[in-house]
Amino acid sequence: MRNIAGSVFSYDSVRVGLPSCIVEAKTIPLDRWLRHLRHNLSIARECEDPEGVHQVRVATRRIETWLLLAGWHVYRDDLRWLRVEASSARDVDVLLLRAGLPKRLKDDLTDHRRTAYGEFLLAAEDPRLQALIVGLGALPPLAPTVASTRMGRLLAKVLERGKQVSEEQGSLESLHGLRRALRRLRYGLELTGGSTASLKRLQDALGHINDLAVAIRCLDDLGRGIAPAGFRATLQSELSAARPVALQLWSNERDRIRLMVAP
Amino acid sequence: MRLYLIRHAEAVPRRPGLKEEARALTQKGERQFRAVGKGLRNSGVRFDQLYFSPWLRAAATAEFLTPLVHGNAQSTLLLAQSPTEGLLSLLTGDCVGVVGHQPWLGELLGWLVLEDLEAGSRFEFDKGGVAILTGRPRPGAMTLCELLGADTLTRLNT
Repeated sequence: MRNIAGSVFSYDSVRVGLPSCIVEAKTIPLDRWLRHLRHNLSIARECEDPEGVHQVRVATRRIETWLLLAGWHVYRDDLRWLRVEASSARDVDVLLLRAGLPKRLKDDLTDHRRTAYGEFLLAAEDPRLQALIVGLGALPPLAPTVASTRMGRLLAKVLERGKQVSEEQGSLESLHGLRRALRRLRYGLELTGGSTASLKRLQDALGHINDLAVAIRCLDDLGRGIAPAGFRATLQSELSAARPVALQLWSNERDRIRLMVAP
Repeated sequence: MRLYLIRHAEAVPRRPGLKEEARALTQKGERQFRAVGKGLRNSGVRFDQLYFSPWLRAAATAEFLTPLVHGNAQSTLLLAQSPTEGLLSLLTGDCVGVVGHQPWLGELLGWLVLEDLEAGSRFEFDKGGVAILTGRPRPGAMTLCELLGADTLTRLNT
């Protein structure tokens, strides 16, 4: 039992209604997201389009949500491993994607990108990845009735994280927790055919905050001397400005998200 | 190292059109191995690492063991073939579980205990059964402590 917004709440009492097309389909297969992973692995291996590594990480999270809805615990460590192996490459890409980078910083980051992608390529050739793809491909499809029950847990987690955001007055950590919970709920809704438009807006706002936080952390990890002092300050001020925007969006969307609970 | 070699539980039989790697556990296999997992937990088993073949019947068996894993659960195709040096070099930790298939699991057992892959056929390794070994995971360097059938392990659950 969890206490959400002052009321006693049980995850198992919450069910999310699924569209009839999904219920009638009888199963929710993993194929689509597995294809997404394989396709983007091949793009990421070319080390050019930053979207490849980004989408590999997105695919691992979507697959993880499917596993969560299906009640599988195996493969979650393998997916986490792949995501971690791709994280340095993604972090550098996030910084490099910013417009107006000072030239020296851009050159240094390009060097770091080469190293980060080298590490990622080792993982992309690791037999662990091959085993993961074989294993995921062998999993049976997910039953919508099972998904419906577990979607309730994803929703409850979002509300719980939202409460933490209020309690901690929008701390970065609490916003990070809310973003992760929202992402799982959105991926769950995508898998089960639900509407995700309002979640996407909120998730984008929280994602912007995370990108800025990652960029600052990445700069700090690479050494403070790597960028002009003003550049880090600009990122910090953008981060400060982005927080109230995200908090306002959360405040607007919270009740609509609550209404996703089926009677 | 304490090494648990675990054979997957009972799976549906082979049939045309069903890929080898997609054979699921039977209901009996699931029921039995759920009890085996609880039995191992009641015996205080906690894995630092759990390795499993990605073939569905082994992954589904490993699923029942995930509450016992305190480190990582990792899939490896090295458990869907005859054992190799590559597999031995993966095995690190104080308490490690390995979920795989016959005859390869038996070969691994024969190799680790008697330094002889073919000796594996001398051991009776039931579906859902567990062999418990101690020592260094090198050929001939491990001692077989117990070879338990699923029925015995199920009784640990009571």
